[in-house]
Amino acid sequence: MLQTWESNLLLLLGKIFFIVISVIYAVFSYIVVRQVNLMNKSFTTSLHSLFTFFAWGHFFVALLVCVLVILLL
Amino acid sequence: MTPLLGAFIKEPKGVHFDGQDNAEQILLFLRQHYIVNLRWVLITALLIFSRPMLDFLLGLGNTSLAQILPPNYHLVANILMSLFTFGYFFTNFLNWYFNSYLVTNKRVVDIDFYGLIHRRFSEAPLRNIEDVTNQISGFAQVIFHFGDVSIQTAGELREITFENVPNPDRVQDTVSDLISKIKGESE
Repeated sequence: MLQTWESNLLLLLGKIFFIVISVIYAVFSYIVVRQVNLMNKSFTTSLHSLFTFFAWGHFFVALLVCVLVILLL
Repeated sequence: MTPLLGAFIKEPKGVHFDGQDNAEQILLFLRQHYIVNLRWVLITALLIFSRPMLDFLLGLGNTSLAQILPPNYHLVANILMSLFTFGYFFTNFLNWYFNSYLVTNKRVVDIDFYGLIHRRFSEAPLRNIEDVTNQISGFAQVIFHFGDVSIQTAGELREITFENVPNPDRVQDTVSDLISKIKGESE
């Protein structure tokens, strides 16, 4: 049975873990945005705006998750 | 413009690639065969079904993730897992979609993206091509009829390889015919 201070420590470690993961992922999602931009220049296709939309959407959701992690946990 | 979702597209309409000349026409647009995507598609499916499977397994022990983790952590973990799954699927699909091989009336082009931050654009004029070889080996390649086409050149770039493309024999025929035509015109 965990004592209170042990539970609080675990929750703090969990919060730090989620913050680090979400920040790293947000950086990764921005790299995906830049890469999609470079990929779209390789050849034209009717899907390029869809890829750009998903890449930016993915990035903004990752940013939102960073904010959520800080606010909720 | 076309969505270009195929792996073997003859004379794609409305497609323009980076560095294409005015009089240059794309005769073949190639990608790796669909089957090479099986691994990451299966992993994506595994990621999607990992949460229900975990809930099922925990349910066998009369508990659940919602009971183990505090509510906020449970919500954040779910969102992060969904984001990872989408990110994994999206980046793998993009890698398949944009790693392409082009045969034009002037050259062959190999567009490679390595990971997320590397791009390599290789080309060889048709007049510099010395030898074209196609190879189909292995169970999957024989069953699904895809393989490698190796293009030997006389330039600084010694070889361009179209890896795991569908109908490699037809690709070889097309390139060989173009070379014959180019060399016939120059004589």
